[in-house]
Amino acid sequence: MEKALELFLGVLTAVGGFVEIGELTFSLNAGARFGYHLLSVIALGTVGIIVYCEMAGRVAAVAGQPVFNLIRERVGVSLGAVTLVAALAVNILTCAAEIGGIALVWQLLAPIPYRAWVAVALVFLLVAVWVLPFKWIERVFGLGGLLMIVYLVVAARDVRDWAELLAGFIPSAPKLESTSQYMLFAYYAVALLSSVMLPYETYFYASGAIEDKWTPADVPINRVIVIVGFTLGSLLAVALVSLGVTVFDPLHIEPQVPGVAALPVALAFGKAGLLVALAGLFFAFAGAAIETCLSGAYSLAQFFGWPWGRFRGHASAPRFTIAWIATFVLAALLIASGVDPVTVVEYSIVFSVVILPLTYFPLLLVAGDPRVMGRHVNGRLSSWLGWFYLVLVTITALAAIPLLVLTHGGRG
Amino acid sequence: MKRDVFDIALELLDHEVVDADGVPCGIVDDVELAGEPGKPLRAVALLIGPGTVADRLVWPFNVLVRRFVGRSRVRIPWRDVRAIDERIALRRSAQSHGLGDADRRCARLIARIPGSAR
Repeated sequence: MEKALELFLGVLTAVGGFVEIGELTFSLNAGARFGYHLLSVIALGTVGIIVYCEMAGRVAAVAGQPVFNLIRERVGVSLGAVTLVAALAVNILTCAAEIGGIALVWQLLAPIPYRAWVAVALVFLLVAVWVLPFKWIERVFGLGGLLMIVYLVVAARDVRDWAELLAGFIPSAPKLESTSQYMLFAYYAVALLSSVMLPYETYFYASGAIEDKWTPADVPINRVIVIVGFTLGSLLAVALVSLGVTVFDPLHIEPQVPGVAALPVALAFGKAGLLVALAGLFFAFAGAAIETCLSGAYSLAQFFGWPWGRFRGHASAPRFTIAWIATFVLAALLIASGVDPVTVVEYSIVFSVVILPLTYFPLLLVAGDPRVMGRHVNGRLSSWLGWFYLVLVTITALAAIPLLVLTHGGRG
Repeated sequence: MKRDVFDIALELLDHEVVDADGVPCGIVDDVELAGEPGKPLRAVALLIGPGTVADRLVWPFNVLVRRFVGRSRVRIPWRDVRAIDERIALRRSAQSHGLGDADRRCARLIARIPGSAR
């Protein structure tokens, strides 16, 4: 019974934690600019994150090893250090964007200055992580993120043509006017893939499995949580693309501010709908802010072998504690400097894809090593899918920066 | 399983080190070997600490580690290694090996904040 409850809550938190500010921005814009054509990229990315989070959770449950220990062990200290610095930078950027997102959402409720809301958000996040045990952090923000389902309801109601939507899952490019438009399409494909497969998700998922004291007996639970939870979670991203098509494209609005995402729900359900939509956004952004912040601290602690984890208590993992506090403060200072959260998220997502191969490669090696994994070693399907996605993210990583430059940061 | 031969690169170097209580206390940043050409080579100590890892890194990472993480180096004699597994386990507590000084200093700082034992 207890296992069944854990499984149920695990799936729900995986659903509620799926969408963050990057996915939100790129999904809505992808729909508004390119119709349903990029749904196939969301599907591709969802299978990819399922494959690699399943591996990360399994390795954590069987070998007790989180991702950054593996990175250093298997790719060596030099490439490991490159990955660490890049991962820390990307985590701070993403965390900053999420904090900015929270402030912008709150600003819609009470018009006090943006920087004051950033300060309130910082204090809220610091207190939440300081006070709540790990399981409660996962559950409060994961379950709160389920309010995002309101977007799914509105999207399903508003779909013009289901056949057209379903056809979007077959890889295809729309008819566009110029090469630069195709370039922008490729940029969106890369960014959307990256936003679904963000590297911090594997860091957080594996470290979370160790926080929750998983053992090899939890391998089946891990599999169900990632397959069911992430598949259902990806429907939220699909819904956002669909709202981009049905609401934002006809109105010629480029959804560049996170709060604008609540517009379709407000149009459909009035003030109550708006409040639910904004609450969903708040939990999604706050959950992602905490995950990216803790991921940074996990990575640093695991690279240097410091005691880490919320389960140890703050004073028993002191450098880890200082690391996550510092990450929150740096991220808040960055976003309070006045940079646009959506610009920050665009850069963080494109740079994230560059570190994906260095994150996935060691994971694939260890999950496929029978000496470490015993009977839980990668099966044929995991191996094939793992290699396929490693090649895919490597090609994507090589294309990401040139596309960012050629499309002027996605501005076309 | 008792063995005489280890793959230093795969089984020792860059693996996490835990003390007698199972608490992480560093990474095997380097291994000290002894022996003469033509004679058997033996591992005599594990070298742990940011000072050691910085020596293995190129610029700017070596500078960043020395500046922001520290320069300490601790030598753990091979006889103090209890087990070699995914983690390297030591026989005694981190403190008695001279490891975790920075953690103890930071812990005093954290302990001043209410609720730090949580």
